[in-house]
Amino acid sequence: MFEGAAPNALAPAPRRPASDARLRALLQDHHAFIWRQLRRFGVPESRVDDAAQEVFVIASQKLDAIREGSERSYLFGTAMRVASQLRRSAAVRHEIGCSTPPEMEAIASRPDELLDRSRARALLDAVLDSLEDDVRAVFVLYELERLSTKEIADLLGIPVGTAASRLRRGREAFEGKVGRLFPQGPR
Amino acid sequence: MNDPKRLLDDDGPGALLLASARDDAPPPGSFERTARHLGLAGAAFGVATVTASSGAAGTAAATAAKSGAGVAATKIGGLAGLSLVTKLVGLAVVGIAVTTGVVVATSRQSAAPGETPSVTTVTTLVGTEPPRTNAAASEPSAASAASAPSAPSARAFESARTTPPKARPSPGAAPDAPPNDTSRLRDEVALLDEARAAIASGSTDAALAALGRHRREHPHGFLSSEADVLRVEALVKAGRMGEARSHGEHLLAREPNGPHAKRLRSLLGP
Repeated sequence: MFEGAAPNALAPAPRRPASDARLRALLQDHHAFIWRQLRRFGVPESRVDDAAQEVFVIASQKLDAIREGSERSYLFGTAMRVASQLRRSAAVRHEIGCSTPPEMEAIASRPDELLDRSRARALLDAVLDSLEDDVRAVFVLYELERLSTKEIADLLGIPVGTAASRLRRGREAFEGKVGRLFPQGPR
Repeated sequence: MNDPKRLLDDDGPGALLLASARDDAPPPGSFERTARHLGLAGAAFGVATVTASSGAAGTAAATAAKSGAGVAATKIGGLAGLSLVTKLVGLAVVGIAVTTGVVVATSRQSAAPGETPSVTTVTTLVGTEPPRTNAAASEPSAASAASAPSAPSARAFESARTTPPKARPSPGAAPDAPPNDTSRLRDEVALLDEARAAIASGSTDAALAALGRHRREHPHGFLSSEADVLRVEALVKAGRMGEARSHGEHLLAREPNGPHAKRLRSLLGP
Protein backbone atom coordinates (compact mmCIF):
# COMPACT_ATOMS: atom_id res chain seq x y z
CA MET A 1 0.00 0.00 0.00
CA PHE A 2 2.93 2.31 0.42
CA GLU A 3 4.36 1.84 -3.05
CA GLY A 4 5.44 5.22 -4.27
CA ALA A 5 4.26 6.95 -1.14
CA ALA A 6 6.61 9.52 0.25
CA PRO A 7 7.20 9.57 3.98
CA ASN A 8 4.51 11.56 5.72
CA ALA A 9 2.23 11.20 2.74
CA LEU A 10 -0.18 9.52 5.10
CA ALA A 11 -2.06 11.81 7.38
CA PRO A 12 -3.45 10.73 10.72
CA ALA A 13 -7.17 10.13 10.61
CA PRO A 14 -9.64 11.31 13.26
CA ARG A 15 -9.77 8.88 16.15
CA ARG A 16 -11.86 8.02 19.16
CA PRO A 17 -10.46 8.97 22.59
CA ALA A 18 -9.89 5.31 23.44
CA SER A 19 -7.87 4.95 20.26
CA ASP A 20 -5.89 8.01 21.22
CA ALA A 21 -4.97 6.37 24.50
CA ARG A 22 -3.86 3.21 22.75
CA LEU A 23 -1.89 5.08 20.13
CA ARG A 24 -0.25 7.13 22.85
CA ALA A 25 0.74 3.91 24.60
CA LEU A 26 2.10 2.46 21.35
CA LEU A 27 4.20 5.50 20.75
CA GLN A 28 5.48 5.65 24.28
CA ASP A 29 6.43 2.00 24.41
CA HIS A 30 7.85 1.51 20.97
CA HIS A 31 8.98 4.77 19.40
CA ALA A 32 12.64 4.44 20.37
CA PHE A 33 12.68 0.76 19.39
CA ILE A 34 11.13 1.41 16.00
CA TRP A 35 13.44 4.37 15.39
CA ARG A 36 16.48 2.15 15.99
CA GLN A 37 15.21 -0.62 13.75
CA LEU A 38 14.51 1.77 10.89
CA ARG A 39 18.05 3.09 11.18
CA ARG A 40 19.42 -0.44 11.20
CA PHE A 41 17.30 -1.33 8.25
CA GLY A 42 19.23 1.14 6.18
CA VAL A 43 17.17 4.30 6.50
CA PRO A 44 19.62 7.22 6.53
CA GLU A 45 19.69 9.03 9.84
CA SER A 46 18.25 12.17 8.27
CA ARG A 47 15.17 10.25 7.17
CA VAL A 48 14.49 8.09 10.20
CA ASP A 49 12.18 10.55 11.93
CA ASP A 50 9.97 10.73 8.85
CA ALA A 51 9.99 6.98 8.48
CA ALA A 52 9.07 6.49 12.14
CA GLN A 53 6.20 8.92 11.73
CA GLU A 54 4.99 6.93 8.77
CA VAL A 55 5.10 3.70 10.74
CA PHE A 56 2.98 5.16 13.53
CA VAL A 57 0.57 6.83 11.14
CA ILE A 58 0.00 3.46 9.48
CA ALA A 59 -0.49 1.89 12.90
CA SER A 60 -2.95 4.65 13.83
CA GLN A 61 -5.06 3.71 10.84
CA LYS A 62 -5.00 0.02 11.73
CA LEU A 63 -5.41 0.28 15.47
CA ASP A 64 -8.56 -1.80 15.59
CA ALA A 65 -6.89 -4.58 13.65
CA ILE A 66 -3.80 -4.75 15.83
CA ARG A 67 -4.26 -7.49 18.40
CA GLU A 68 -3.59 -6.64 22.00
CA GLY A 69 -0.14 -7.93 22.84
CA SER A 70 1.06 -8.01 19.25
CA GLU A 71 1.63 -4.28 18.87
CA ARG A 72 5.39 -4.58 18.75
CA SER A 73 5.26 -7.28 16.11
CA TYR A 74 2.95 -5.19 14.01
CA LEU A 75 5.10 -2.09 14.32
CA PHE A 76 8.27 -4.02 13.57
CA GLY A 77 6.79 -5.58 10.45
CA THR A 78 5.53 -2.20 9.32
CA ALA A 79 8.94 -0.63 9.97
CA MET A 80 10.61 -3.30 7.86
CA ARG A 81 8.27 -2.58 4.97
CA VAL A 82 8.64 1.19 5.26
CA ALA A 83 12.43 0.88 5.40
CA SER A 84 12.47 -1.48 2.45
CA GLN A 85 10.38 0.91 0.41
CA LEU A 86 12.59 3.82 1.33
CA ARG A 87 15.71 1.93 0.37
CA ARG A 88 14.20 1.21 -3.00
CA SER A 89 13.29 4.79 -3.72
CA ALA A 90 15.63 6.57 -6.07
CA ALA A 91 16.16 9.49 -3.74
CA VAL A 92 17.31 7.38 -0.90
CA ARG A 93 19.42 5.16 -3.14
CA HIS A 94 21.35 8.31 -3.88
CA GLU A 95 21.78 9.02 -0.14
CA ILE A 96 22.83 5.47 0.54
CA GLY A 97 25.26 5.68 -2.34
CA CYS A 98 28.00 6.77 0.03
CA SER A 99 28.21 3.25 1.39
CA THR A 100 27.99 1.15 -1.75
CA PRO A 101 30.49 -1.69 -1.94
CA PRO A 102 33.29 0.07 -3.88
CA GLU A 103 33.31 2.88 -1.36
CA MET A 104 33.13 0.33 1.41
CA GLU A 105 36.31 -1.23 0.14
CA ALA A 106 37.93 2.19 0.10
CA ILE A 107 36.91 2.87 3.66
CA ALA A 108 38.14 -0.51 4.75
CA SER A 109 41.47 0.13 3.08
CA ARG A 110 42.11 2.84 5.64
CA PRO A 111 41.60 0.86 8.82
CA ASP A 112 43.34 3.48 10.93
CA GLU A 113 40.40 5.74 10.21
CA LEU A 114 37.89 3.16 11.29
CA LEU A 115 38.03 4.46 14.79
CA ASP A 116 35.96 7.26 13.41
CA ARG A 117 32.50 6.17 14.42
CA SER A 118 30.76 7.57 11.39
CA ARG A 119 33.03 5.63 9.07
CA ALA A 120 32.50 2.46 11.03
CA ARG A 121 28.81 3.12 10.91
CA ALA A 122 28.79 3.61 7.14
CA LEU A 123 30.64 0.35 6.79
CA LEU A 124 28.20 -1.43 9.08
CA ASP A 125 25.28 -0.11 7.03
CA ALA A 126 26.90 -1.45 3.91
CA VAL A 127 27.55 -4.86 5.40
CA LEU A 128 23.98 -5.06 6.73
CA ASP A 129 22.69 -4.04 3.30
CA SER A 130 24.32 -7.13 1.91
CA LEU A 131 22.10 -9.38 4.05
CA GLU A 132 18.69 -10.59 2.98
CA ASP A 133 15.91 -8.73 4.78
CA ASP A 134 14.65 -11.64 6.87
CA VAL A 135 18.19 -12.57 7.87
CA ARG A 136 19.04 -8.96 8.58
CA ALA A 137 16.04 -8.62 10.89
CA VAL A 138 17.08 -11.55 13.05
CA PHE A 139 20.75 -10.54 13.00
CA VAL A 140 20.02 -6.97 14.10
CA LEU A 141 17.54 -8.00 16.78
CA TYR A 142 19.99 -10.49 18.21
CA GLU A 143 23.31 -8.70 17.88
CA LEU A 144 22.24 -5.13 18.50
CA GLU A 145 18.93 -5.32 20.39
CA ARG A 146 20.19 -8.30 22.39
CA LEU A 147 16.91 -10.14 22.09
CA SER A 148 17.07 -13.90 22.53
CA THR A 149 16.19 -16.17 19.61
CA LYS A 150 13.00 -17.04 21.49
CA GLU A 151 12.05 -13.36 21.80
CA ILE A 152 12.88 -12.84 18.13
CA ALA A 153 10.77 -15.83 17.12
CA ASP A 154 7.84 -14.44 19.11
CA LEU A 155 8.27 -10.99 17.63
CA LEU A 156 8.45 -12.20 14.05
CA GLY A 157 5.91 -14.98 14.46
CA ILE A 158 8.32 -17.66 13.28
CA PRO A 159 9.54 -20.89 14.89
CA VAL A 160 12.55 -20.60 17.16
CA GLY A 161 14.46 -22.96 14.89
CA THR A 162 13.89 -20.64 11.96
CA ALA A 163 15.09 -17.67 13.99
CA ALA A 164 18.21 -19.60 15.01
CA SER A 165 18.85 -20.64 11.44
CA ARG A 166 18.49 -17.08 10.13
CA LEU A 167 20.79 -15.87 12.87
CA ARG A 168 23.37 -18.44 11.89
CA ARG A 169 23.17 -17.38 8.24
CA GLY A 170 23.37 -13.74 9.23
CA ARG A 171 26.43 -14.26 11.40
CA GLU A 172 28.20 -16.28 8.74
CA ALA A 173 27.51 -13.67 6.09
CA PHE A 174 28.48 -10.82 8.38
CA GLU A 175 31.70 -12.41 9.55
CA GLY A 176 32.57 -13.49 6.04
CA LYS A 177 32.14 -9.96 4.75
CA VAL A 178 34.04 -8.40 7.63
CA GLY A 179 36.78 -11.02 7.32
CA ARG A 180 37.25 -10.16 3.65
CA LEU A 181 37.32 -6.46 4.43
CA PHE A 182 39.85 -6.82 7.24
CA PRO A 183 42.04 -9.82 6.56
CA GLN A 184 44.43 -8.50 9.20
CA GLY A 185 41.74 -6.98 11.39
CA PRO A 186 41.35 -3.23 11.82
CA ARG A 187 44.20 -1.54 13.59
CA MET B 1 18.39 -23.64 23.38
CA ASN B 2 21.70 -21.91 23.88
CA ASP B 3 22.09 -18.69 22.04
CA PRO B 4 25.62 -17.97 20.78
CA LYS B 5 27.79 -15.29 22.31
CA ARG B 6 27.04 -11.99 20.68
CA LEU B 7 29.58 -10.67 18.21
CA LEU B 8 29.42 -7.33 19.95
CA ASP B 9 30.88 -8.97 23.04
CA ASP B 10 33.82 -10.34 21.04
CA ASP B 11 37.02 -8.56 20.20
CA GLY B 12 36.82 -9.12 16.48
CA PRO B 13 36.52 -6.49 13.78
CA GLY B 14 32.80 -7.21 13.60
CA ALA B 15 32.44 -5.91 17.14
CA LEU B 16 33.99 -2.64 16.09
CA LEU B 17 31.43 -2.18 13.37
CA LEU B 18 28.51 -3.29 15.51
CA ALA B 19 29.59 -0.98 18.32
CA SER B 20 29.11 1.96 16.00
CA ALA B 21 25.36 1.30 16.14
CA ARG B 22 25.17 0.88 19.86
CA ASP B 23 24.22 4.46 20.50
CA ASP B 24 21.49 4.61 17.89
CA ALA B 25 18.70 6.61 19.42
CA PRO B 26 16.11 9.12 18.34
CA PRO B 27 17.43 12.66 18.48
CA PRO B 28 15.97 15.06 21.02
CA GLY B 29 12.47 16.09 20.07
CA SER B 30 11.90 13.14 17.75
CA PHE B 31 9.32 11.56 20.02
CA GLU B 32 7.47 14.83 20.47
CA ARG B 33 7.48 15.52 16.73
CA THR B 34 5.95 12.14 16.04
CA ALA B 35 3.36 12.68 18.76
CA ARG B 36 2.43 16.02 17.24
CA HIS B 37 2.24 14.50 13.78
CA LEU B 38 -0.19 11.93 15.13
CA GLY B 39 -2.33 14.63 16.66
CA LEU B 40 -1.27 13.69 20.16
CA ALA B 41 0.40 17.00 20.85
CA GLY B 42 -0.03 18.11 24.38
CA ALA B 43 -1.37 14.74 25.32
CA ALA B 44 -0.32 13.28 28.60
CA PHE B 45 2.36 10.68 28.51
CA GLY B 46 2.59 8.55 31.58
CA VAL B 47 6.30 9.12 31.75
CA ALA B 48 5.95 12.61 33.11
CA THR B 49 5.84 12.53 36.84
CA VAL B 50 4.34 15.89 37.41
CA THR B 51 1.45 17.76 36.00
CA ALA B 52 1.91 21.46 35.80
CA SER B 53 -0.94 23.73 36.66
CA SER B 54 1.12 26.82 36.02
CA GLY B 55 4.58 27.63 34.84
CA ALA B 56 5.64 28.77 38.29
CA ALA B 57 4.33 25.70 39.99
CA GLY B 58 5.93 23.53 37.34
CA THR B 59 9.27 25.11 38.00
CA ALA B 60 8.74 24.62 41.70
CA ALA B 61 8.21 20.95 41.10
CA ALA B 62 11.29 20.65 38.96
CA THR B 63 13.26 22.52 41.57
CA ALA B 64 12.00 20.17 44.20
CA ALA B 65 13.17 17.21 42.18
CA LYS B 66 16.59 18.73 41.58
CA SER B 67 17.03 19.73 45.18
CA GLY B 68 16.94 16.16 46.26
CA ALA B 69 13.87 16.80 48.30
CA GLY B 70 12.33 15.70 45.05
CA VAL B 71 9.43 13.49 45.44
CA ALA B 72 9.49 12.74 49.11
CA ALA B 73 10.27 9.12 49.62
CA THR B 74 7.32 8.55 51.84
CA LYS B 75 6.86 4.85 52.20
CA ILE B 76 4.49 3.09 54.45
CA GLY B 77 5.18 -0.37 55.85
CA GLY B 78 5.16 -2.95 53.13
CA LEU B 79 5.26 -0.30 50.47
CA ALA B 80 8.64 -1.19 49.07
CA GLY B 81 8.63 -0.39 45.43
CA LEU B 82 5.71 1.93 45.55
CA SER B 83 6.89 5.44 45.16
CA LEU B 84 5.11 8.68 44.95
CA VAL B 85 3.33 10.43 42.25
CA THR B 86 3.50 14.14 42.16
CA LYS B 87 0.56 16.15 41.16
CA LEU B 88 0.20 19.86 41.24
CA VAL B 89 -3.07 20.84 42.72
CA GLY B 90 -3.67 24.51 42.39
CA LEU B 91 -0.65 26.11 43.92
CA ALA B 92 0.61 23.16 45.85
CA VAL B 93 2.61 20.24 44.57
CA VAL B 94 0.99 17.26 46.14
CA GLY B 95 2.87 14.01 46.32
CA ILE B 96 0.63 11.10 46.93
CA ALA B 97 1.74 7.74 48.21
CA VAL B 98 -0.89 5.16 48.20
CA THR B 99 -1.27 1.97 50.10
CA THR B 100 -4.33 -0.08 50.82
CA GLY B 101 -6.96 2.52 51.47
CA VAL B 102 -4.58 5.18 52.66
CA VAL B 103 -3.33 8.23 50.91
CA VAL B 104 -0.47 10.27 52.23
CA ALA B 105 -0.48 13.65 50.65
CA THR B 106 2.71 15.64 50.78
CA SER B 107 2.23 19.27 50.03
CA ARG B 108 4.99 21.55 48.98
CA GLN B 109 4.97 25.23 48.52
CA SER B 110 7.71 27.07 46.79
CA ALA B 111 8.26 30.76 47.23
CA ALA B 112 9.86 31.12 43.85
CA PRO B 113 11.74 29.11 41.28
CA GLY B 114 15.13 28.18 42.61
CA GLU B 115 14.15 27.90 46.22
CA THR B 116 13.84 24.63 47.99
CA PRO B 117 10.21 24.15 48.81
CA SER B 118 9.00 23.35 52.24
CA VAL B 119 7.51 19.94 52.72
CA THR B 120 4.70 18.94 54.99
CA THR B 121 2.68 15.82 55.14
CA VAL B 122 -0.97 15.16 55.63
CA THR B 123 -2.42 11.70 55.96
CA THR B 124 -5.96 10.94 55.10
CA LEU B 125 -8.08 7.97 54.27
CA VAL B 126 -9.24 7.60 50.74
CA GLY B 127 -12.94 7.94 50.59
CA THR B 128 -13.36 9.42 54.00
CA GLU B 129 -11.67 12.73 53.54
CA PRO B 130 -10.13 14.44 50.56
CA PRO B 131 -6.43 15.29 50.52
CA ARG B 132 -5.86 18.66 52.02
CA THR B 133 -3.38 21.30 51.17
CA ASN B 134 -1.26 22.49 54.02
CA ALA B 135 -2.42 25.55 55.88
CA ALA B 136 0.82 27.24 54.93
CA ALA B 137 -0.49 27.41 51.41
CA SER B 138 -1.95 30.74 52.30
CA GLU B 139 1.49 32.19 52.98
CA PRO B 140 2.37 35.16 50.84
CA SER B 141 5.25 33.26 49.30
CA ALA B 142 2.91 30.73 47.80
CA ALA B 143 0.70 33.50 46.56
CA SER B 144 3.62 35.19 44.89
CA ALA B 145 4.54 31.96 43.16
CA ALA B 146 1.02 31.81 41.86
CA SER B 147 1.26 35.30 40.51
CA ALA B 148 4.25 34.45 38.35
CA PRO B 149 2.63 32.55 35.52
CA SER B 150 5.41 33.36 33.09
CA ALA B 151 8.15 31.70 35.10
CA PRO B 152 10.38 29.58 32.88
CA SER B 153 9.22 26.05 32.39
CA ALA B 154 11.44 23.14 33.19
CA ARG B 155 12.32 20.64 30.48
CA ALA B 156 9.94 18.17 32.02
CA PHE B 157 7.12 20.41 30.99
CA GLU B 158 8.09 21.05 27.42
CA SER B 159 5.44 18.63 26.35
CA ALA B 160 3.25 19.71 29.20
CA ARG B 161 0.05 17.93 29.76
CA THR B 162 -2.97 19.87 28.81
CA THR B 163 -5.09 18.09 31.34
CA PRO B 164 -7.01 20.81 33.08
CA PRO B 165 -5.47 21.23 36.52
CA LYS B 166 -7.64 20.18 39.36
CA ALA B 167 -7.28 23.63 40.73
CA ARG B 168 -8.31 24.75 44.14
CA PRO B 169 -10.16 28.05 44.19
CA SER B 170 -7.64 29.72 46.46
CA PRO B 171 -4.49 28.64 48.23
CA GLY B 172 -5.87 28.87 51.72
CA ALA B 173 -9.31 27.49 51.15
CA ALA B 174 -8.43 23.81 51.63
CA PRO B 175 -11.26 22.94 49.27
CA ASP B 176 -12.41 19.48 48.41
CA ALA B 177 -11.06 17.56 45.47
CA PRO B 178 -13.74 16.64 42.96
CA PRO B 179 -15.46 13.53 44.30
CA ASN B 180 -14.64 11.49 41.25
CA ASP B 181 -10.94 12.10 41.81
CA THR B 182 -11.11 9.95 44.89
CA SER B 183 -12.89 7.14 43.15
CA ARG B 184 -10.53 7.35 40.21
CA LEU B 185 -7.61 7.18 42.54
CA ARG B 186 -9.12 4.22 44.31
CA ASP B 187 -9.55 2.47 40.97
CA GLU B 188 -5.97 3.19 40.08
CA VAL B 189 -4.72 1.89 43.39
CA ALA B 190 -6.73 -1.29 42.94
CA LEU B 191 -5.29 -1.88 39.47
CA LEU B 192 -1.74 -1.23 40.58
CA ASP B 193 -2.19 -3.40 43.65
CA GLU B 194 -3.46 -6.14 41.37
CA ALA B 195 -0.46 -5.71 39.09
CA ARG B 196 1.96 -5.69 42.00
CA ALA B 197 0.45 -8.83 43.52
CA ALA B 198 0.55 -10.55 40.15
CA ILE B 199 4.22 -9.66 39.71
CA ALA B 200 4.98 -10.97 43.18
CA SER B 201 3.29 -14.26 42.39
CA GLY B 202 5.00 -14.54 39.02
CA SER B 203 1.81 -13.99 36.99
CA THR B 204 3.37 -11.44 34.72
CA ASP B 205 0.70 -11.75 32.04
CA ALA B 206 -1.94 -10.86 34.60
CA ALA B 207 0.22 -7.98 35.79
CA LEU B 208 0.61 -6.62 32.28
CA ALA B 209 -3.11 -7.01 31.69
CA ALA B 210 -3.88 -4.99 34.83
CA LEU B 211 -1.37 -2.34 33.78
CA GLY B 212 -2.91 -2.26 30.32
CA ARG B 213 -6.30 -1.67 31.89
CA HIS B 214 -4.82 1.08 34.02
CA ARG B 215 -3.43 2.81 30.98
CA ARG B 216 -6.64 2.54 29.00
CA GLU B 217 -8.88 3.62 31.84
CA HIS B 218 -6.57 6.23 33.36
CA PRO B 219 -4.43 7.63 30.58
CA HIS B 220 -3.92 10.78 32.63
CA GLY B 221 -3.79 8.90 35.89
CA PHE B 222 -2.35 9.96 39.20
CA LEU B 223 -0.26 6.82 39.23
CA SER B 224 0.79 6.61 35.60
CA SER B 225 4.48 6.84 36.34
CA GLU B 226 4.21 4.05 38.92
CA ALA B 227 2.37 1.97 36.36
CA ASP B 228 5.17 2.56 33.87
CA VAL B 229 7.79 1.33 36.27
CA LEU B 230 5.69 -1.69 37.21
CA ARG B 231 5.36 -2.48 33.52
CA VAL B 232 9.13 -2.55 33.17
CA GLU B 233 9.35 -4.75 36.27
CA ALA B 234 6.74 -7.15 34.88
CA LEU B 235 8.51 -7.35 31.53
CA VAL B 236 11.83 -8.05 33.24
CA LYS B 237 10.26 -10.75 35.34
CA ALA B 238 8.61 -12.22 32.25
CA GLY B 239 12.02 -12.46 30.61
CA ARG B 240 10.96 -9.98 27.93
CA MET B 241 14.18 -8.06 28.35
CA GLY B 242 14.11 -6.46 24.94
CA GLU B 243 10.77 -4.81 25.61
CA ALA B 244 11.72 -4.00 29.19
CA ARG B 245 14.88 -2.30 28.01
CA SER B 246 13.10 -0.42 25.27
CA HIS B 247 10.37 0.82 27.59
CA GLY B 248 12.71 1.52 30.49
CA GLU B 249 15.24 3.37 28.37
CA HIS B 250 12.47 5.49 26.97
CA LEU B 251 11.36 6.40 30.48
CA LEU B 252 14.93 7.17 31.51
CA ALA B 253 15.53 9.26 28.42
CA ARG B 254 12.58 11.43 29.32
CA GLU B 255 13.29 11.61 33.02
CA PRO B 256 16.96 10.74 33.53
CA ASN B 257 16.93 12.17 37.05
CA GLY B 258 13.31 11.43 37.83
CA PRO B 259 12.12 9.80 41.00
CA HIS B 260 12.03 6.40 39.31
CA ALA B 261 15.38 6.59 37.56
CA LYS B 262 17.32 4.65 40.16
CA ARG B 263 14.77 1.88 40.31
CA LEU B 264 14.57 1.66 36.54
CA ARG B 265 18.34 1.41 36.22
CA SER B 266 18.35 -1.27 38.86
CA LEU B 267 15.65 -3.20 36.99
CA LEU B 268 17.40 -2.93 33.66
CA GLY B 269 20.80 -3.84 35.02
CA PRO B 270 24.15 -2.79 33.57
